[in-house]
Amino acid sequence: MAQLLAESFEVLAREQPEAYARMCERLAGLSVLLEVEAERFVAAFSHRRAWVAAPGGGEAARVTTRSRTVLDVLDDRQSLTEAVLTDAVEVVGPLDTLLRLHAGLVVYVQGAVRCPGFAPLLRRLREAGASSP
Amino acid sequence: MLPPRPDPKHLARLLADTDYFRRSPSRLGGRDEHKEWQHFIVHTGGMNLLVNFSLLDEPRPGRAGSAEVARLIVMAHGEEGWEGDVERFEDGEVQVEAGHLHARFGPNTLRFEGDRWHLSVALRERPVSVELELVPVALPALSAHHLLAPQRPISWLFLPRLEARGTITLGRRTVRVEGAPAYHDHNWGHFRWGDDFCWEWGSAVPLEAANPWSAVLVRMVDRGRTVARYQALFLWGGGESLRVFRDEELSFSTAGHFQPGRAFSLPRPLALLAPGTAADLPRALEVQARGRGDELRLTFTPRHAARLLLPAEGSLEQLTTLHEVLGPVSLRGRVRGETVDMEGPAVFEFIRG
Repeated sequence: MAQLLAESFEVLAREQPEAYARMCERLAGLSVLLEVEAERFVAAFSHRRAWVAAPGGGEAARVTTRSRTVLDVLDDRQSLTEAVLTDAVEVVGPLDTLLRLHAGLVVYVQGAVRCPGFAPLLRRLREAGASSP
Repeated sequence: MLPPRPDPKHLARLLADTDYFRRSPSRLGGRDEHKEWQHFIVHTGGMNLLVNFSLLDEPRPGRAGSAEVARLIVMAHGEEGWEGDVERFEDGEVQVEAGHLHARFGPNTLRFEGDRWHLSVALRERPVSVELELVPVALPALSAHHLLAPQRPISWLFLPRLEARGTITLGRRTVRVEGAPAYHDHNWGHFRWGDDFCWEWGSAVPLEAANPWSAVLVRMVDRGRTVARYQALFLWGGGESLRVFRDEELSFSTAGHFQPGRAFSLPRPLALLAPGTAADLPRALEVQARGRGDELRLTFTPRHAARLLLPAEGSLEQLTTLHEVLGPVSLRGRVRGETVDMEGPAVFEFIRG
């Protein structure tokens, strides 16, 4: 998952630089701990770039979920709201940080749907999700 | 006395001369932002199918100018609800020649041979496949260069009535189709999703082959839906157009609010950007047409709706939503001395957002 997220930032920067810049602008200074099954990693943002790193402590928010849930949301079997309300996605952090994260996610998705390079990433995510418990 | 079905050879020549793929002028250095699609709707007793072969100019990532992108859109509604997908194809998988009626998107093909369309479609990841022949049984209507918005023209050709034969597989169920009513249109023009326009576009056919009536409703308005720029109700009797009611001859009214529940959305990931169930669709649409001694009343009652979510082209923050809405239509009135009486399935498109 960390590898796919890192590659998706690269694709977004290459194919939709405006969306990438806007996402970075909205999330600048934030780092988020992501826990997806056994994987723990950090998505971090500056004004100019987004990257994936190992956890270092001090992250502004934490998101815990499963790859199956990520696919359920991307395939619209479950809305993000439903996933949060049923604890399939657990998000912990100050409210203003969570609102910024959501605003950044919206631009990320808006950019992603305009990038042809996201289709193979989604296929790989499905393959990985199919083999996850 | 209504005109009979047109001669199939004459109809085939007419379609060869008018319904061919235009392709984007941007391929030759001309204007971009071109959109074009060939669209088919088939109604069986318990199933409704929409198939759309589309070619849209899109910016090339990291490069100047734009390039046509081929997508196949399939939506099917059956006993278990909606199914379908939007599939994108790379250049090497696409064969579409300007001036011809055929298309190949990967393994999916659209061919016009003899006097009929042949449609062969199988989605990669969803359980929908189609093998159909579609025989036109009415003359087409061609309309060129209507302005959706300033500098944003659209042209269309539609066939209000075809007969479909073959098979449709949806989930684990394969339906044998024999003479099912169908509709076809072809749109092309230069416009962007998110421009200042909406449309309401509906087609209605009778389930009984013996009923001679079919209708198409077109209404183009600004995005705020305060100004109607064009509206027309096309009535076909037998194989030909009997009457077109236009502009001030038409009055529209809507009642209530249709709430489809959890929406079926394509492409699925875009549902993340359109949460909630708000749909801005009427519970009933009524159109009164009156003029030159003719009178016609169309009522459409939405039953099921799906959303095609389209990223706005001028904004990274907006989506345009194209609702595909299924439901029964009734058509009653007296036109050119003929009594019009039809009930049948319809698909209405409502653009919102």
